[in-house]
Amino acid sequence: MTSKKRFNQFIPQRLKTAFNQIVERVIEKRIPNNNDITLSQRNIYVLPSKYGVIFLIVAFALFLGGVNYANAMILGFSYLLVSLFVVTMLHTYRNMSGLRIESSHGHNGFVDDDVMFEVNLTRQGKRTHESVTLMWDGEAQSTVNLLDCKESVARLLITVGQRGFYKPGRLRVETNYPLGLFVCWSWLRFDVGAWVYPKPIENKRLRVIPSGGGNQSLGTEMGTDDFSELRRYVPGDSLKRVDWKAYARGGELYTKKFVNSVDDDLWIDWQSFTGVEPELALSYVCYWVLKFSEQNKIFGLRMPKETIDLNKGVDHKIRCLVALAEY
Amino acid sequence: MGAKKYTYHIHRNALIWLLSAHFFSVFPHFFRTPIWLVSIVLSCIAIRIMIYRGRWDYPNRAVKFVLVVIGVVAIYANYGAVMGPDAGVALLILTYSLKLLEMQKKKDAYIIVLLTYFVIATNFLFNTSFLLTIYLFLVSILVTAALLGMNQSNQQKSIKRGVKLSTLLLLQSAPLMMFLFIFFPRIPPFWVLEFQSGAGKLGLSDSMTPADVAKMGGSAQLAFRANFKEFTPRSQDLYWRAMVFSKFDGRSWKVGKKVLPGDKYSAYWYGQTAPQWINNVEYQGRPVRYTVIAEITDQPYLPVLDLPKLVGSETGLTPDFRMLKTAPINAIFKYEALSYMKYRLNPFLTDRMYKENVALPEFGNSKSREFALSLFQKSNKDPEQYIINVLSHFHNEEYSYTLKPPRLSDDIVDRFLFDTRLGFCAHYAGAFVYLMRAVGIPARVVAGYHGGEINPIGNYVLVHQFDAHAWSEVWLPSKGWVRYDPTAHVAPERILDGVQDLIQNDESLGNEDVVNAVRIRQLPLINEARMAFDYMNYSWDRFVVGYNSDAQEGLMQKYFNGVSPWELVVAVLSFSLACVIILALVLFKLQPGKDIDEVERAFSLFCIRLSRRGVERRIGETPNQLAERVKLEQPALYDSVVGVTNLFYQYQYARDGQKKGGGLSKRQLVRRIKIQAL
Repeated sequence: MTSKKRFNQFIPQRLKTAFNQIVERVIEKRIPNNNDITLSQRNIYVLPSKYGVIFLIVAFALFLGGVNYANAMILGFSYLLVSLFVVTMLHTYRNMSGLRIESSHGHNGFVDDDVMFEVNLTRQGKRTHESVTLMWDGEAQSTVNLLDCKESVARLLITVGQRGFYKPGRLRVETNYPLGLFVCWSWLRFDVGAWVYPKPIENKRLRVIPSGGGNQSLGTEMGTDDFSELRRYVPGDSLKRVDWKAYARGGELYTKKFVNSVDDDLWIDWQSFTGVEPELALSYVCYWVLKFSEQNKIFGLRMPKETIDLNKGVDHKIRCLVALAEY
Repeated sequence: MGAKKYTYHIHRNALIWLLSAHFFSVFPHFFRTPIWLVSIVLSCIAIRIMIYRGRWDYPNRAVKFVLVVIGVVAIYANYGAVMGPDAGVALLILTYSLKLLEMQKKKDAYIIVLLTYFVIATNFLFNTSFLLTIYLFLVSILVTAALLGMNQSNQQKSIKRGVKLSTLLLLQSAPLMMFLFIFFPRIPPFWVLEFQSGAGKLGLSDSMTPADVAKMGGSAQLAFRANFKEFTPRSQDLYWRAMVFSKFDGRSWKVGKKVLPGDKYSAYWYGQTAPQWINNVEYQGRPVRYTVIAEITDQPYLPVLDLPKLVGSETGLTPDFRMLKTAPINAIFKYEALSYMKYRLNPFLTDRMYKENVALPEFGNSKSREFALSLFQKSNKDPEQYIINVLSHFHNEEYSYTLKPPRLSDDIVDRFLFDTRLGFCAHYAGAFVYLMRAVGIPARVVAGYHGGEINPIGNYVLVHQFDAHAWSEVWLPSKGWVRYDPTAHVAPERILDGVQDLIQNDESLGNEDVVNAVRIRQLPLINEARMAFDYMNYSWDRFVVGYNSDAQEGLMQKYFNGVSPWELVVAVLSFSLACVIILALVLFKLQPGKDIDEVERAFSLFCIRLSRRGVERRIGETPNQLAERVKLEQPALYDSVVGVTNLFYQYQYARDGQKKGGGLSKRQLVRRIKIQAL
């Protein structure tokens, strides 16, 4: 992160955008983008629903009644029901056809808690889509209606029992609008996933290892609590931290530096949890990561496979959590 | 309350449609079912409404069980059975209504919907008129709207939408339905399901007193309609033969030999080998071809003109040349008929037939017998002369004709001939036959209808119950059975002009119903309307209700040079496929859906412009999130973007209830978004 940002600041905005766009286009050409699918006859299936079959049985029973009572009107009514059945099939199919579905990304979550995936549905042209239900892995369910608006986002929450990188299976898109006599569905596979972090479990086992104090100069602000000093402005410092009044007075750029009131640096060490079963240990670590982040403290994570340096902030928290999920 | 079970909450709109459809589909049955069943239906609907509003709870299983048992017992008590159309329909209505009290799951709602379709269809068992068909089509719209309501978006508020869409669906189904109706092969019944329609109409029976016939004469109900193919005989020549009575027991006239349906010996059924006695008739002259559409009578008697020949399926002839249907008429029945107005029937009589047709009760009516014998003497024992004398007697003496004859008792013939001298056609016919038999001349009473009213629209004949008539047939050597109508000699106007004219001239002759009917006919506009309305019903009965396998065959012969059932099935399937394809094209290409909202579209275009400036709107990103991101990535554009997102939000929230976009019209909003510079 740090090196990229250093590099970025030298490139003008326009060029950056143009470059990104070129890269996107190349990528798109190479890899089939199957995260964006428009439903058509190639991927839609239609079958009568349970009630559709019973409906046909009723129509057939009436047909038999009409034949046996020699009653032309009952016969006609049974024909009406059969015709309605056929017409409904077309309507149900039409309700799905032309619908554009994209899945952008998933939001990370915790074990036994909700992991959210967003699916975007768009109308093409004038056709409306009503009562379309999305289901992932049979459980997460969301019903969408695209009538007036052009697009709509469905948020599906899945509960995952295992930590790690979770890729949901097939997405089932189905509808039985208008009369519930037919089920029209499609299976889609999206290349999205989300990290599932271990479930945090409260514990008191952490051994805090002080690292030796002192500020770490990373080129960005370390703390936000107490004003500690003015330092010369170094390119890369946030413009928000520049002492503009001093500049107005003297023409020199200085950066205000703050520091956290906490003295010790916190390291969450995997070693603290020896003797504990790994999964449980991860949960314990997770708890501490969350706690420190909540308290806005600077902390670091020492895992057997990787070490994450002292830092704070949302990105840092996520990095730690992902490391735990990945373990 | 304790732990709540999952209950399916039906959408309010769907419930409204469902309950309306429930009520309206059962409503026509109310005229046939006992009052308590009506009240059960209404109560169930009311209870369900209460449940919906949260006031009451669903009844528990014990209560439901008790209700069902009580209901079934009550039906059994009322109808004497639980099977068969009447009891079966009542049972269906009972369970259908009680089901409303058990709607906790989604499948319960579906079951009720499907039962509604069934109940709608059962109405047709009892009535197939044009108006009822239209009515039931509308009820179908209601129940389909309910089904729609159960499957549409929960945010739909409009009640009208359900009906609109439902109507559309049914109208789109109509062409295929009509095609199937016309072309799908009509299969004859697998097993004949006979039932009493319970219509309770007046009609002929195989045992009648003159008073019974007179009762028919007091009703203004329609008996049947007939249309003639080549030429229409004069009204006065239309003697519609339905019953032949050859047994008299002193009180009533009875049919000589009972005919059992399907019995080969008592009747000659269409499609069977002709029996011997069919050769007893000699048809002369040109035949009259006609089609009769009979109303429901729950009897098998088919009125035909003297003298019929067997031509249509499901019909049969008796030895006395009445026509019967193979089963009682429990639905509108259309039959083709052929009659010869000139004929010679039974030129030779067997001994048995002779004995049967001169038999009289041993005692009673002595005065009439004496009179007969003396008159026969005076006629030189010549049968034809005797007949003329008897008829002259009726004509010259003070005999009167009325549709409200007085009751007779004891020696009814004596009473009638010498005391009251006032009677209905049945009295005259009965007395006439009595006088014939008293001197050994074979004679029998023939009953049915006479004449009819011609509807100038459509040129067909309407015959009502008050056209009921009785006349006689006398057997003369080598001439066979010859018709004599004594009423013609007493009240010739009855024969020449018809009952309606008779009543018109002298209202005292008829009873209330008939008089009112005749009065209505005298109002020109109303009468024209009546005729037009009847023509509509007649056409409906003839072409739609009467479209049976014979009619279908006829149509195929006429237009398609005779098509085999297999070819028909193939044609049906291909047309259905074509129908489906056409409908698919219409639905997918031509049918307009909903336009994307203009403001949304303007915003989309704005986002495209924005993307050219470097900020691409992410999937699922709200306008606010987008604005925030612009603030970070392209601060210079922030103000413009915020301006647009504000406009957009104004419009969005205004749409959901308040006034439109802070005073701006949609168009103005769109304009502003469009011209916003970046």
